[in-house]
Amino acid sequence: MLKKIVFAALVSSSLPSTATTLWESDDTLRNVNLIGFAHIDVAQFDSLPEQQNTQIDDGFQEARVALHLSSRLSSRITTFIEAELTVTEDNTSDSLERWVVKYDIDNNSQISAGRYHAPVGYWNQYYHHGRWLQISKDRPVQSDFGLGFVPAHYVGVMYERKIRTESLTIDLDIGLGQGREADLIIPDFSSPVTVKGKEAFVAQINVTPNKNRKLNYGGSTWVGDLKSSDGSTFEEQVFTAHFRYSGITGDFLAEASAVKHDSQDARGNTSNYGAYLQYSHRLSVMEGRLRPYVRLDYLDIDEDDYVFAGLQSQDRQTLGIRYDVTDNSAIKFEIRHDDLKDDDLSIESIHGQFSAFF
Amino acid sequence: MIINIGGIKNSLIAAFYLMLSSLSFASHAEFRPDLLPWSNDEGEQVLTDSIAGDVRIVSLFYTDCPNTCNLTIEKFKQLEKVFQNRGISANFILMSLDPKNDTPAALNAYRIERGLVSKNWYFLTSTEPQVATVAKQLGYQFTRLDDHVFHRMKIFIIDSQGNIVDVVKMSTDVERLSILSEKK
Repeated sequence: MLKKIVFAALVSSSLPSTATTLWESDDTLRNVNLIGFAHIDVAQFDSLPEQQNTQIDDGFQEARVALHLSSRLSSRITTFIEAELTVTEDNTSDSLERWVVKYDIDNNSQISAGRYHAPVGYWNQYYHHGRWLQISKDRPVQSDFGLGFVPAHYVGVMYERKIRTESLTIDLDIGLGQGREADLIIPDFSSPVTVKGKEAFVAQINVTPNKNRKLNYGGSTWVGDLKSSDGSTFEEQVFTAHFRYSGITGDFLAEASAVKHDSQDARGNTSNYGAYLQYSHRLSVMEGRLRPYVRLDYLDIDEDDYVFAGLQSQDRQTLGIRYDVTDNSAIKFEIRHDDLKDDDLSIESIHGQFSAFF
Repeated sequence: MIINIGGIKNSLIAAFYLMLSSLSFASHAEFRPDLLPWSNDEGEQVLTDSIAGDVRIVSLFYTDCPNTCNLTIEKFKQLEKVFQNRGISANFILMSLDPKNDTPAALNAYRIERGLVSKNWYFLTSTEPQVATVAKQLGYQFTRLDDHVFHRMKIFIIDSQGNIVDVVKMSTDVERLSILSEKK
């Protein structure tokens, strides 16, 4: 199946491109752009689940600084690096989140190689540069990097193409790489089992009508092979679809995803679903700096899914407000209600965040 | 007394370079963005020099901007009120940071959606090199990352001679601009 998809991708990439001229100003050669993102999170919970993948507690949650460095190495080659430093109550960690080298084929198409945020789902693709950019404090449940419902990172090659027709602008990403990193842990009584991807194909399409750039819709797919440390193998298929309307004051985003695991042994086939709806509204008072928002998250995990044995079905309702303190910093305040289905537990919590870019 | 001729010569050269560099600095404080004609939101060719008035209010923006540009537009509206109240003729010029997506049609849709239909508001687009040159001229910093253009709010008040007389940031009180005290 992977071979067929790769063949289709190669055929697509060989389609003629319309643009020819490239920006080849000497001013752009060897320049280095550095931009940083930072956020600090606090939260208070009324109760906590007994079993959880990540240790959470009241008060300070994390502080993170991400540095994005981009440089034009030649008129056609650019490189981009994202390095992160995260501090939690118990731990300090650093990571090379992304490192991509990109070659401009022409103004509308590039080929690149490196480590990416997997282009699976709209949130992963549009909001992956930092918390300041997104309206809400955190990612939706289905796109939460820590949870691993949809693949978070991806190492491989990518072909990106912008297709402009009279009525539509279509962004197309097609990639082939090593698949999921070891970001899934299956709890076990003796020792945890980890799941790692072997290879994966990913494709995403985003469509924007030229006469109404407020609209955006599209979807993505991910097909990969998984192998657990206890020897089980699975084929994983991920499908996502999204719709966004981004007006002057109102901003609506809906996204849904399905993750299927087909066991190559006797562990059966399972399907899992995630979705969220988010609406924010820019108030006309205070120079438009205030934006209340609401989000409904839904996650349905098949009880028989071996790969997702560490996850559980949950619903989350979030009510929040964002205030742009300056043009590069924001404060967000949220109240949340979580229903964790397996634990039969409801959690009320309040959250705060300061985020900025510099 | 020993006169160091070489020292005097070097001092004169240094003074000459200082004078040159000050001239060069003065040219950076001017607004001369017309390397090529710009396209307005109706697809017409426009030279910013041909946009007259006592002052020109200029900034860079892009129509897909999720945060900062909305705040910039709000500041432009405040400036429009201030200049109207003082009887100063002002033209408002917004130049796109994202020429690939900000076609004249996209600019026109943006203008109409926001009700910014006054004839003294200009929405202009060009080529990436021309935008980069203007940004450099104005000392306006921006960085592209994928579909985003990261930038701060910076609005330039240009007098009829093309000189930058004020720079408005988010925290600027628009009632206290120096050009307003000059025009009293």
